[in-house]
Amino acid sequence: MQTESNNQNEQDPIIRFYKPEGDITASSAPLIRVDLKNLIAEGVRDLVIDMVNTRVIDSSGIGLLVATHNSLQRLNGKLTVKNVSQELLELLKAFRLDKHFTVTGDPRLG
Amino acid sequence: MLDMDDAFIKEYLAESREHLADIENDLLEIESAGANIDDNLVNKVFRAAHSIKGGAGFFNLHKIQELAHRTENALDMIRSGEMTPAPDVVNVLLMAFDRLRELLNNYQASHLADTTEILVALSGMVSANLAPAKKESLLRTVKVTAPGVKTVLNIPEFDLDHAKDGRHYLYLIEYDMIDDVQRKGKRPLDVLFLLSNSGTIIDAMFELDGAGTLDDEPSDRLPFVVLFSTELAPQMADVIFDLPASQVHVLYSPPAEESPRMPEPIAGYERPPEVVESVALEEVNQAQSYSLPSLTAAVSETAPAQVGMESTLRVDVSVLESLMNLAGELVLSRNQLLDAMASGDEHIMQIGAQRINLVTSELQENIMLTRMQPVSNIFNKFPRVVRDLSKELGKEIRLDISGREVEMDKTIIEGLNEPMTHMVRNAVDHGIESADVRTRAGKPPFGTISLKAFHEAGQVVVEIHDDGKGIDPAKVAASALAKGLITQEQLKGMSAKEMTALIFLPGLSTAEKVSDVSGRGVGMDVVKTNLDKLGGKVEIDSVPGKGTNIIIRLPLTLAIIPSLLLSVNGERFAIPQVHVSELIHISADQIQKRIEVVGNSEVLMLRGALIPLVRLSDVLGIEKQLEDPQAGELTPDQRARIADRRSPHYDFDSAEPIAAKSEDANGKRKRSAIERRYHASSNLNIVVITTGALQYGLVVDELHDTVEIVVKPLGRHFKGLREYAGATILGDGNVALILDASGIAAKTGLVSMAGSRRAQVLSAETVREGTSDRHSLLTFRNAPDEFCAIPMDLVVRVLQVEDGQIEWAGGRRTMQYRNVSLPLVTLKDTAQVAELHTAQEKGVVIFNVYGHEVGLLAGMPVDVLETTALIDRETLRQKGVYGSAILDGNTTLILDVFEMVAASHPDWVAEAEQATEKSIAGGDVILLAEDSDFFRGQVRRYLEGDGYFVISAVDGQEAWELLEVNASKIKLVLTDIEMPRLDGLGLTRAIRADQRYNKLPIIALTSLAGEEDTARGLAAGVTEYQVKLDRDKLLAGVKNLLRSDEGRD
Repeated sequence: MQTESNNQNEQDPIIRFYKPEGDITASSAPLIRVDLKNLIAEGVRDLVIDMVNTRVIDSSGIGLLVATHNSLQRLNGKLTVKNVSQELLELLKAFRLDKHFTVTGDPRLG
Repeated sequence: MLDMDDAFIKEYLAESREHLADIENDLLEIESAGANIDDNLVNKVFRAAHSIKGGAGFFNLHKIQELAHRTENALDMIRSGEMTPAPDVVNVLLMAFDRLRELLNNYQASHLADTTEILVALSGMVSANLAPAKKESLLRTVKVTAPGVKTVLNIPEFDLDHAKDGRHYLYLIEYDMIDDVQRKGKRPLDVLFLLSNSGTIIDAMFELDGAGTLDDEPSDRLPFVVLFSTELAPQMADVIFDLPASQVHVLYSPPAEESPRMPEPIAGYERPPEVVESVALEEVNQAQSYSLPSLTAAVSETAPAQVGMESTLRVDVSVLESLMNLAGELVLSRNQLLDAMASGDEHIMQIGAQRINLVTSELQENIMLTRMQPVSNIFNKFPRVVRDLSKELGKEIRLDISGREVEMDKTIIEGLNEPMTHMVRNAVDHGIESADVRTRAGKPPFGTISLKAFHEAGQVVVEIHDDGKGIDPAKVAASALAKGLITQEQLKGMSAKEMTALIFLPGLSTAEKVSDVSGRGVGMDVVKTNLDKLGGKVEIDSVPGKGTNIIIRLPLTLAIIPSLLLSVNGERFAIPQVHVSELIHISADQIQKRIEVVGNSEVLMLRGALIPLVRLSDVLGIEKQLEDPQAGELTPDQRARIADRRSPHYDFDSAEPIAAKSEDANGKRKRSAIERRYHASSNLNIVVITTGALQYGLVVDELHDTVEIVVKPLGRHFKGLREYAGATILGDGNVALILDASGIAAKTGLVSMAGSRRAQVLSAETVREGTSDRHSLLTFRNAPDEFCAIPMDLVVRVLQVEDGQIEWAGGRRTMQYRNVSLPLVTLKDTAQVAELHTAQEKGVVIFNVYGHEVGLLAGMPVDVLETTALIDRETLRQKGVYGSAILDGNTTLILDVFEMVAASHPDWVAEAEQATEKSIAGGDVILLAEDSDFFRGQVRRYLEGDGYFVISAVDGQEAWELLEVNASKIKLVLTDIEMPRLDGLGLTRAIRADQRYNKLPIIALTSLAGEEDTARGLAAGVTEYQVKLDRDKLLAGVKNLLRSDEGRD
């Protein structure tokens, strides 16, 4: 049993998944933000956001992803974004965000 | 998965390649300039490294970035004078750029590459030359930021110092990813590329901190910070940035006076930006106006594409614009045509079709233009190749290049690359001798290789010349013979040039030892094959001991070539115009004279040379059919030979003909009535074909037009057929196969006739005839590409005329000349030639025949030539055309003005004939002895024109015989001096020695007019000398002598 406080949560597994129900835009972002904050407050350090239901993401959404990344990073954590659609993948790559946190596409959509 | 990077990386790579294209030549120039540094050139190379570095950084191509960075540092030191571009320095730089090129070509694997060696070399060079203080700056980084900007960039001090060079502004700009980029429909990469077109991005960072954390207030600011160096002053830079002023920070402005080497920054970046900005504003007011090269989309010149690697092209915007216009025209014409077809209006349909015709041609030309690239693309690499290779071999070689700007189709240039490289390397390796061998041979110790490109006759010509040891034809021939590539019999007939050309046979190598440098003799045949594939021809010309000249001729474009259409048995074929040198028609009655048999080949006599003949139907296995002109029936033509059975037959080595053979042994011969008669189908149409050194005549049924055809390759399954080079679809939708000139020659195993005895005899005769007679000819054009000539002595005057001056009267052309109506004739009136072009400048050549002045309407320009060229009386003979000769490289028709005038004014001829009859009655008969057909005909005409009756002979012997028969009538002898059998002097002596004739006046006609000859002539008994050929003087002289004679009698 390792007791390095930063990396582990006693109860939950290290990797935690979060799946937004739909798009991440100005309307939905604030609520998602609250969820994510809570997760981190619970001690999640390795967060995987599953974007399978997300088609559209706007500036608020991107800002949210980056803020999440920033928060996790400060705690030596890590953000992964998975099942990203083609378009979103392009967008994230265009902002070179894929260089900061892991972004993977949806295998179904290729 | 779509990789966003792909399109942008491609662009980055394309730009980098452009930068790298000229780098070698530039570095070599820098090297040779030595301490005399050309700022512009060094800057150019520096910028190349700089922009490669910038882009590499952005795409995270770290190895490339690092290498480019170190290279840049080195170049900067050269620029500032801290390091001189000595050869060893330049060598390292060349290697560095080579490595960059390699890494770029395989950029995906570039991060795995090992660049330590070159990096060490570069930094070693740099630190060796840096002042210690500066060395530190390589290692230190400085924090760069501006008020309100959260991001801090870490920039190497060295780089910052360079950015502040007194010419560039330094900006720190903040883009907001959302507001300034995404919302405006741009992408970050677009922004970066836009920036990099007008300056250099020193560093760029997308600041994530701007988004804060989940605990912060949500922000939609995602700042993207760029440290940017550019010559553009703020007013203009703002246009590019398209940002609110608060997001643009000027960190440094260049001072008003330029001091490019060691500038002093106005403000260090540590100072508060306000100060910098206010100073910058002042400077801005005095700023010069800069051109914004990238804001205008136009690329002002077509940038060269790197050979062999590019699948993109840069095209001049003006070409694109004309393509757009033409496309528009095409649409309009098509609409017009469709409309006309719907309404059935034929006239409009024709107009529409014409327009489409024109537009299509222009469209095709313009599209071809987009593919044109300058040959410098390949030429440019040769200085380096020659330099390195000659160093390796220890030879001193100078390379001259001319015609770099000559343009060719992209594919042809790419295809030319390998063959040329091979030949240049050959020249360096095998051609140029070592310095001491050269000095011993009396040559300068350094060898010279020259590369030339130029346009000639619708083709591109590339010449590679070296002044080395040349190629020994005997050696090549011996090698080919030893390797079984040619037979003894074939060798017998070859000229020196043909033997040298054997070097193109596969498997040949005459190098004494296999040298790594140029390969194992696998070269020249591949060169030829590659060039053949491009539709080109290669010729090799060498003088052993003096040097070698290789001439490559290439079409301007690959896909569309002008070709001659011909047919056999009604089936049409095409042959590329580039191989066709002449078209010859031989009527049945001339066959016996013009066609001979030498050895096993049938040959055509053409102006003193023997051209081997081949029947296309035989080559292609088409059964020849004879059409009976009356019954219209087709029967198989079983005549096995082209030559008439009465044609002279020669053995290869003999000069005398074999007794005429009776029918040849080729099986039974059905001697039908058709074959015995000569009629139209016995005429021969021959296409004289030249491929490389070999010339032959292809016998076909019919000749058609010359058309431009699109070449379609034959399928793989046709590859073994050497006779065909491709296929095309003709205007009527039918397919025509394209003949391969060299393939046909190879298939039929043509033997060159050049070496045969008969050919030598012929050419000797030709030479003799050619040198003795000098003609003075007035040359002009009929149609723009038809050249004509008439003897100068006939010409009274030449006038330039306008179309308006020409009148028509009674079905004939005339014009007003000196208040008299001058009748005009044109060649078209009597002969099968082209119509005079309406746009041509026209002239009238006035001469006097049959007692009248006549004008010959023709095209200007007009020239006078003195020539000893041979006049061929057979080839192009028609009414009004006396014969032909090759003058200044053009086949020229020698006009027979007498025939022309006789055709249009038979009444004058009748008059003249009456006068002649009178003179016969009066007894004025002149004996003319002259071996040259041409002069004999001319003189005869003049004399007859003046009313004399002429008896002519071809040599002294014949003249003597005729004299004996006609003694009572002959009143004067006019003789040439140089004649076979019995020459003029001999004839004169014979006449003087004979009681019967010794009082006859004898006029000697000669080109020889030296005093010695005159004396000899007079001693022999000549009464008077006349130089060829002055008509008036001659006629006056004749008249004189006859009158005085009469007086005497």
